[in-house]
Amino acid sequence: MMTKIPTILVVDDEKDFCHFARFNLEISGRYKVHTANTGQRALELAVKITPDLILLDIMMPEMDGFEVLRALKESLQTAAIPVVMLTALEQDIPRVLAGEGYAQDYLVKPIRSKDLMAKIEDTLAFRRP
Amino acid sequence: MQKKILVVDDTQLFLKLMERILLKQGHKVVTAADGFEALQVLSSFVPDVMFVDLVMPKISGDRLCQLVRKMPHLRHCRIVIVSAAVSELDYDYRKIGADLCISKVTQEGFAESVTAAVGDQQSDPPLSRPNPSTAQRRERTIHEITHALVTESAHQETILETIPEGVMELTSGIVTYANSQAVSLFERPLGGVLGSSFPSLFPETDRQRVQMLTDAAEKTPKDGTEEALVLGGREVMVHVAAVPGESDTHLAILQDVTEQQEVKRALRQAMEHTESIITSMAESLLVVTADSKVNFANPAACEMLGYTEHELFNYPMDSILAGDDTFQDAVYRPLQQSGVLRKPSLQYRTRSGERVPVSFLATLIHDECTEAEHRCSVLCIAHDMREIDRLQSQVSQAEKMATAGLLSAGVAHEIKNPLAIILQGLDALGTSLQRAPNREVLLDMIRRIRNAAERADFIVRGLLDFARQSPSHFSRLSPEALLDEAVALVEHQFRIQGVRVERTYSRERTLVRADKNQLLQVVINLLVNAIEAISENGIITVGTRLEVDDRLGKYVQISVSDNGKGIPPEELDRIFEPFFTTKTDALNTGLGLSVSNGIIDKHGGSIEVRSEVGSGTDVIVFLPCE
Repeated sequence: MMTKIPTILVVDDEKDFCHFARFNLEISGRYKVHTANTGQRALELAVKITPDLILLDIMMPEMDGFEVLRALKESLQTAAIPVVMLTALEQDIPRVLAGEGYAQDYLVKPIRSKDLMAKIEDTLAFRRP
Repeated sequence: MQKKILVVDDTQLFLKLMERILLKQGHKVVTAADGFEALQVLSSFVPDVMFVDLVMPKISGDRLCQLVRKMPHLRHCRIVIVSAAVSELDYDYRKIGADLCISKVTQEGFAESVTAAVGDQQSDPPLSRPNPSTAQRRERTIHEITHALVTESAHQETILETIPEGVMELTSGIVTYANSQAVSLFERPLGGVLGSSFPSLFPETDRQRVQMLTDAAEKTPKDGTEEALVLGGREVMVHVAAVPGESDTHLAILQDVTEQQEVKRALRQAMEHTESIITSMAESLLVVTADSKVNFANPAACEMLGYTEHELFNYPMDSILAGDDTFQDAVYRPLQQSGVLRKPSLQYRTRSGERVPVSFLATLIHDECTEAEHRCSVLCIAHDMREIDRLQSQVSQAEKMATAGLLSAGVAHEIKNPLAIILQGLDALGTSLQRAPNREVLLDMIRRIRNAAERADFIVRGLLDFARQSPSHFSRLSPEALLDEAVALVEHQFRIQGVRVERTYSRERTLVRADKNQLLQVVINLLVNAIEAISENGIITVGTRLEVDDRLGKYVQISVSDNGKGIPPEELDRIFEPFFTTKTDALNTGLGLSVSNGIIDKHGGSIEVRSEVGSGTDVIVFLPCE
């Protein structure tokens, strides 16, 4: 019986990061990956594909990760999607934790792909009933 | 009643005649051949009556009268002038202190006149009228000579009273005549002066010098005191001259030079004052002629350049200016237009060939003769900037490190992003190699990883370049290229803050002469300030504009503007003060704008800050163009 593999949305203005994250996650055969390079695009895709998890970079031009997160949580269609924040700045962590309560977890760049996948697994497992 | 009588006359015959007349009447008679002898007699003999001839050598009759009248012990002595010409002269014998005057022109009635004069009568005895019939020719001659002599004496007296100098006659060192100017200098009455020994009139300490003057007068007739003597608060130059032919007579000329000395002193003081300023000033001071030769150098200039004052005299200024420009091109000609020339970054070449950075100021020296020929000299003032440069570069470096610290947080983030790409990329690469390696895919991965690594390197290198302490180096550079480089260095900071950068560059391009590293520091400082002033969605505008000003010439305005919170007026006033800051973080030194100001000043430019609370801040850097 074929279980539906989870869909992951990777949001980062770093195109090459998106490229490699997608490659590493998809080659494992465990995930289907979509990528967005701006906050606006992320919100559109989130509505369109309703991913099982969103990896969301904080530092992005124009609309940053926190703004995207707020928009996601404010929309009924996307409010339930677990979000893991990505940041290159240690300074952002307290803000994620105090974190307006919305994000499930965070990851500090740079990260190995096995750590990335472990975090995704944990988060998805927590979400599964 | 017997009286003591002194007869003074230079005619031996006349003395005999008088003696005979008076002795016959039972008086005691002493004679003197001239005024000086009379004075000697008078020191031990107190006569009741004196007969005095008017015209005598050494001390004339009138002067003798004046002298006698000043001597207290001769207060009661009756003085009778005996003269050949007085009757016709309306000679006012009372003026010289005499009591009576009788004529000796005729012998008839003369004895009676004498007798009457000795008597106690207060009324004038009848003057013997000249008798033209007797011995007419001889008497006429005597009469005329005496007349001439007395007239001349009055004439001389008038002259002596009118000239500004004090004039004194000394006989054997005793004052026998003093005009009123001389008397007033000694601050005592005429009587206290006449008859006194000349040196004794001076203060104790000067007497020996005065005595020496009199002694030396014989040998060097025109000698005087070299320095002024002080007499009752006045400064007096004393000259003593021997009177030719009269061995024991000297003339003393006293010149009141108090005012002269005061003016001289004030002048000397003013000159010394100016000189001490010029000598002690730290600035190097050179006066350069229109044909580029050094005409004067103060000690600071000599020390800085390593030459003696003598060596610098007539030294070509072109050899002192270290640049390629001649003094004529770089200084003299521009000065003709502006009158004042300021060059904040000029270099002098020292004797050893070292180049000394100086802050240079030149002005034309206007004086009548050179101005007429349009060949004014130039005053060149140069301040040695070595020490200031050293301190400024230390402060500047400290401030730069602080800015670098501020930037490094952003840099860390910017490095972590490429590192994240590299790590993910290497994992992808590893997995690909294990499975089915596709050459194209692998090469693409390697390319992306290399890009990320290079990006990290670029960011770190930019920061390190900026933080590195580099020696001052001026070059021609484009303000727009410099702005782009500065923006690139803080770009990640912009991204963090979500700031948008807009560029409004001048269409016409120009070059400025500047130290790239320093100017970069200024612009980055302004950008960092702008970032801190604005909240999210701020816009920072960097721009350039070319302007031409009559006074400043062609210059470029480099502006960094933000639409942030603005600066309140009370803070705006203090914005260039060192250590003034409104920020509290540890990396902020409060030196940013003050250092920037120093750097721009060194470039011959200026910084202007315009701000309005709530609408933003414009910082404009004015730099002269090449």
